[in-house]
Amino acid sequence: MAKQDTKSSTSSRLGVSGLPMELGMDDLVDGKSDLVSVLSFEVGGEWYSIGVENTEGVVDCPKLTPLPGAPVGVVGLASVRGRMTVVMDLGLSASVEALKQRLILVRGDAQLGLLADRIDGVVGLEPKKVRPVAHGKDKLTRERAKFGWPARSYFKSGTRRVPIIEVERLGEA
Amino acid sequence: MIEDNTLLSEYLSESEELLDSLLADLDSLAAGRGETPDTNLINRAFRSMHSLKGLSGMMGLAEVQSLAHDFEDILDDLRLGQLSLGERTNALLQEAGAGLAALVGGAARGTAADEDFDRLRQLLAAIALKSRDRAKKDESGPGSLNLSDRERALLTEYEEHRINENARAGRSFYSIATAFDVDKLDASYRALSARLEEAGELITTLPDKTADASMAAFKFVFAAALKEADVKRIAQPFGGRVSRLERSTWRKAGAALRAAGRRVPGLAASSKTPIEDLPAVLPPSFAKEALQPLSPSVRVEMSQIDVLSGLAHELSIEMEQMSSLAEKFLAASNLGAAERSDLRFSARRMKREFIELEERLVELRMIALAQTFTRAARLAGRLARELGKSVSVEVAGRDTQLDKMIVDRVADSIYHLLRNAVDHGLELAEERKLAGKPARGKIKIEARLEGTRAVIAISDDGRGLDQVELRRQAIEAGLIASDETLTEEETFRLILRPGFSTADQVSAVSGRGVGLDAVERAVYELGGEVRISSEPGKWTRFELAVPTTLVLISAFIVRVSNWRYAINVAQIIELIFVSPAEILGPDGRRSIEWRGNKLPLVELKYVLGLGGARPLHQSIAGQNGDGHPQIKIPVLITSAADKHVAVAVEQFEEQREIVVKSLGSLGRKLKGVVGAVDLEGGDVAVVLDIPSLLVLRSIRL
Repeated sequence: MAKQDTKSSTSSRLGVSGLPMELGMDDLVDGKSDLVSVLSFEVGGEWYSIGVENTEGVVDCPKLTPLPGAPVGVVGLASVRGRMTVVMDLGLSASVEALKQRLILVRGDAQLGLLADRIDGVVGLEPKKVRPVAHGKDKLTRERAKFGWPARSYFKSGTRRVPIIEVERLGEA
Repeated sequence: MIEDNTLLSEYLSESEELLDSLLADLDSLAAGRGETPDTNLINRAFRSMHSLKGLSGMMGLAEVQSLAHDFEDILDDLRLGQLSLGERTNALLQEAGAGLAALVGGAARGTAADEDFDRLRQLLAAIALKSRDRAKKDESGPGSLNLSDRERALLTEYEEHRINENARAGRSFYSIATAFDVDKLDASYRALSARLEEAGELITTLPDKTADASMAAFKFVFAAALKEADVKRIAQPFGGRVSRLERSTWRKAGAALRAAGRRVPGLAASSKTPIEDLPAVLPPSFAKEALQPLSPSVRVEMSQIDVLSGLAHELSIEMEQMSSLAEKFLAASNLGAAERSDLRFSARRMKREFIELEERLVELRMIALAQTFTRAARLAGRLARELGKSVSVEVAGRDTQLDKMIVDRVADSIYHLLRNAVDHGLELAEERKLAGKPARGKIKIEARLEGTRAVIAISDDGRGLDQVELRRQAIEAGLIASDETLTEEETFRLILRPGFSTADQVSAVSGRGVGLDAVERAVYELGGEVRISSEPGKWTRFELAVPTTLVLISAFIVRVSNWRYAINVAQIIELIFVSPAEILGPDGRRSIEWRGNKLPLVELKYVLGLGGARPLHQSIAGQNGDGHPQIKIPVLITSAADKHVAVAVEQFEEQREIVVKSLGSLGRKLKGVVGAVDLEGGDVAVVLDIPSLLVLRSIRL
């Protein structure tokens, strides 16, 4: 498991080695309202995070069925808790078969799920630690911008910059 | 006391729930001191008490029953505004409630003392007395309204109370007289009530007279802070005649009307019976009646029906698995013949009932096109007037039923096509005369069923589509090459292309920029198609073929690679098997003979973008055992843009009724995909719209 910088993440961090198979995110929301709680995860060798309030839980990813005509990043469809979930891979793996372990369920009408190789856990961030992404500054941002990169802010974990995914922009990617 | 322990515990748990709710409501009432008491709160408390009374009576607990009855009377007075809630009254009510709660357990167990019952009875009597003392005169009252004595007599006491409350709040009263077609009574009644409830308070609906036996007439008594014109606007679509039930009418009419006795027709002019002298205790049937909702229906969110459909479907899948497990157990067990057949029979029956359950849930979502069509016809008339054209609109098939979601989504397209017909289709009167047509243009809006699809057609008897002009514009806009040959249908379809407009001038009505491509997109998204036909100089006809329901369809499951896909059987003309030798032409331009015609043959795998560039028969042969000569390739015949196409799959599975689930807001944007369905074992089959997919993938047809 990747090391987390204890300076930027406060003591509210939970679940260091991944979450139980089906854990409602409500269980993880930090009581302190001045902290921004994000779930951080790794996929395709990169780290990402998403606001805990935008998630509905993490499940083992069920079998995926490819969706014809789906946009870049959408790897297929899965039925999770009786709901059809459009599964996205931020790691942009080309094939459905690439083995991803977990699926983060995104709250909202888009019925989206994000694939993750590993879930790091919930990080409570002080708002000042959330910084805007400087556009076109680094290679990753430039690359991602091509398909409507859904992050405008990030936080620093050690030397690593972890983008915070915006749910509203995911559907447009 | 209750002897039976089971009954006792049931009674206690049920009465506890009722008393909890009652005490909470009494607390809320006390907390809102000084404010006008919340009617819902009082009604709920009344219902709790009423239920407790009934429950206790059923258990033979006469003492509790009679106390509950007294309590109920007090709550009823409160409900009717005959008892006002002061601090003292609130305290007494809370005390009485707590007293009753304390007594119920003892009464049920037979341990309560007689004096406890008496004490509570005295308390309730004291509150009731307060209520009689304070019962106030009917100041504004229903007498203030311009209703006939007969109508006034039909008002319940609660309705009169609501009239008082609304009068006190300074709202105006209206009567909306309307008559509905008996066949559509329910829907029309509900629609108007709903509109009125949104805008104000619908006090009551009184029956009215009508000479026409096929109609049912009503007078809606309605209170709102609206002007007469606004109320007319609401009532007009329902053909309602609005008149004011003015207070001033009453003032002029004088005291005789004011004193009009409730439920006592004929007394109006002479009787001065003040309301206080009416019997204090209402007949028990009244209370029940007043609590009955006006309409026997409930309003349900569509999403709730979706949840139910989903659950029912999930259950039926579980059921299937159970029944196949049961078969296995049967085979291994030593059960007798009778038990075996019982088990099989009950499994079959459950399966049937699940299917029926799902069908019923689908029906709940269906609504008739009537309302949309009526609005559409009115819109067409208005547009025509704005453009200085004269038009008659004919509507047919308004009873055609569609899923509400589809009606909502297709409504914009209907309006769009109407605008187009009025603006571009119909000529001006002079032009029509020159062409030997009647000056008045004709537009027809119709709907009919076509298999599992509904076809909504909009036609006009205008100038028709000019192929030469369409072509010229398409070449100008760079949509086609100048030497490209197009069929008639293909030429007509050019107007569905983004950025295409035949109007030389942008008119205010049809707007600019937004073309008919929006119509095609909307219909595509629903898994439907747009058809166009026209005769130059004579008429144009647009047809929107959309599924009647997105939910339950009869589908055929096929297998491609590792995945299964579902195809609406309405899109399949025939299922055949083809041997490799029957396939003509080179890879990429394969075809087969079918009913004497040469049809293009494509692989579903390729259409889905899952590869499939390999020679067809090899991939199939590889699957079924290394080029065995007996190989038959499963092929389904479908049609896209009115041409037949053969689509090769890897395996036919089975036909079944499936519940199509939505893919959410993102999935809706995917063309060629209607939804998805859960299969056993956690599998998901994507429901394909084969014709759209073929068109999207530019399959040569």
